[in-house]
Amino acid sequence: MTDHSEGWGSKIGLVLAMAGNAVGFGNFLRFPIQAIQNGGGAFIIPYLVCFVLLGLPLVFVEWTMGRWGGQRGHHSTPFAMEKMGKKKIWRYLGGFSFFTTIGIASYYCYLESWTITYLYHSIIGTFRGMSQSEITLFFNHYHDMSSTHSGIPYENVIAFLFCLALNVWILTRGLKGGIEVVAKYGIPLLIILGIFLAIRGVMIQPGEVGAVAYGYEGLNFLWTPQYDSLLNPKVWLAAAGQIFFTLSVGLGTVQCYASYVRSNEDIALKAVSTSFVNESVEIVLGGTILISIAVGFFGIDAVRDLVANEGGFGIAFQTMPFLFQKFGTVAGTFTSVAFFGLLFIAGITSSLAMGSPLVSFLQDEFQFKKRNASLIVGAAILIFGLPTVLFFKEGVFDEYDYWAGTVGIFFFATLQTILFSWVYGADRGWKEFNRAAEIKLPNIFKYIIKYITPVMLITIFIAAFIQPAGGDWSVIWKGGWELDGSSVLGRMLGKGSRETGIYTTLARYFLLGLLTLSILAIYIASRRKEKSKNLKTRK
Amino acid sequence: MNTSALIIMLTVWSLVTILTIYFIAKLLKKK
Repeated sequence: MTDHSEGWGSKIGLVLAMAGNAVGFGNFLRFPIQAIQNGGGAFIIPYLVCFVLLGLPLVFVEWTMGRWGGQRGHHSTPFAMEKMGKKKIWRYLGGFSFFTTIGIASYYCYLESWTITYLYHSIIGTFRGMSQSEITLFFNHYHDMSSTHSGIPYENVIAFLFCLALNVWILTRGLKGGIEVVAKYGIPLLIILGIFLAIRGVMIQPGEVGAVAYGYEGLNFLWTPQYDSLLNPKVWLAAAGQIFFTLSVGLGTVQCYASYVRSNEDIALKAVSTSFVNESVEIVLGGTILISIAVGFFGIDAVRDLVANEGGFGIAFQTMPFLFQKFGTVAGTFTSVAFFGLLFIAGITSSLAMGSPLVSFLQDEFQFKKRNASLIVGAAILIFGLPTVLFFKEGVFDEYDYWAGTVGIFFFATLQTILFSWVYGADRGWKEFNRAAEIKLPNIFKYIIKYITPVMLITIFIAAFIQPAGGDWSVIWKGGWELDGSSVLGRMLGKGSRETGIYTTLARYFLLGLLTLSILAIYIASRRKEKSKNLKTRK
Repeated sequence: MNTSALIIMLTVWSLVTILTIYFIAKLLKKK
């Protein structure tokens, strides 16, 4: 452990960096798609309930753990969790942070590189005059190593390497000179671009440049309440998953950033501020842009079909460049640049956060310089990320997203909540969270963190583990339980449609390798600590 | 647009936006 004296330049810089960590592709791409897939208005109530009962408590837990660990010289989770839990096992469980952050960054960087490619092609006018099917073909060819639609060979690999190099370069600049600068300029710009796109989307009228419906019909679909959804566990699972993804909890990134605050700094106000910035961006902007533009040009039924058939992050890349052209050459190019620029900012502020815990760990425990630690993290993302680039179509990307980006973060967040509430103690934890706080948060959150959040997490985890086919939970009393292909157990047993391929097996081995390496790194760091402790004792 | 959808949307939007501005303003005001 070393005390590399780094810190944030300003409190607003920290809040913007933390907001940048949370605001990502989930806000603009995942949220609207999840909402459409789960019945529009049916989704929003469980989503808001999960924000209060799961999201905010987890954010509070992670900020507390971060500041607590930082005061003891640990800017990543393994040894901070060990000190909090007072048992060696917690240091290895804390290693899940590296599994989730590097596992997610490996495919996230590839996703981020698409935005760079689409920005470039928007500027040079590649999409001009392309039909919807040609745009879809462009997207498909982009991931195909044997062909190119843009004339640039291996364009996806080049863009991925460029994106990764950019991330590593910013990481080498440190918190104040790198991450904070990106967030300070990036987040305000993202909000301005988002407001522009949201207004443009809502203003769409039928007949205008080929639109078939009013843009605001998308909002109507999203916000029409459907109270029966409150009884559907499938919608609750989706809402909880979205809250996890959007707040970037269960990763170790919040702890890492929070560990660099001063010991007497108010974290309660910062935690709520960053959470609400994220929610504003997601609910107001993310819930408006994609839905209103897509519904305006395709109509609500076509959008519903499109989401059901395509889904995933790719949908915006397969449709938006076509729709933006309808605004005309100049306005279309500007809108396209604004949209992919917004996505790029959202992506890079999150991917930088994902690289940070391992950089800090290498600095703390192995005394690496920032530059070398960043290069090692870059190399790790390159090794684990290349399979997602080379075998995207074979499902490696989705496999990473599922195990690291969904199951991994859920599991890690559950561990942290148990540690905080039941091992360290909810009373002590809540006191620590509120230390130096100017804002008085309702005490009820202490009880939510202690009882409701862990129960909800465990229930959701069990439900996701054994989810019945089609999310039809009425089989509980009807009988005839059949596992859904997307359930954790279903995926393990190969019940999904794409489970049998050699590439998905390869992806799982890679992820297992990542987990093993994470644990090995912690083991080596522990040995080093013990040796240095013994040497000090002898002296 | 459906009236109940509009009311819910505007309520949630206002609540989230006002709270965000309130917290950020409080943070900036603090020494």
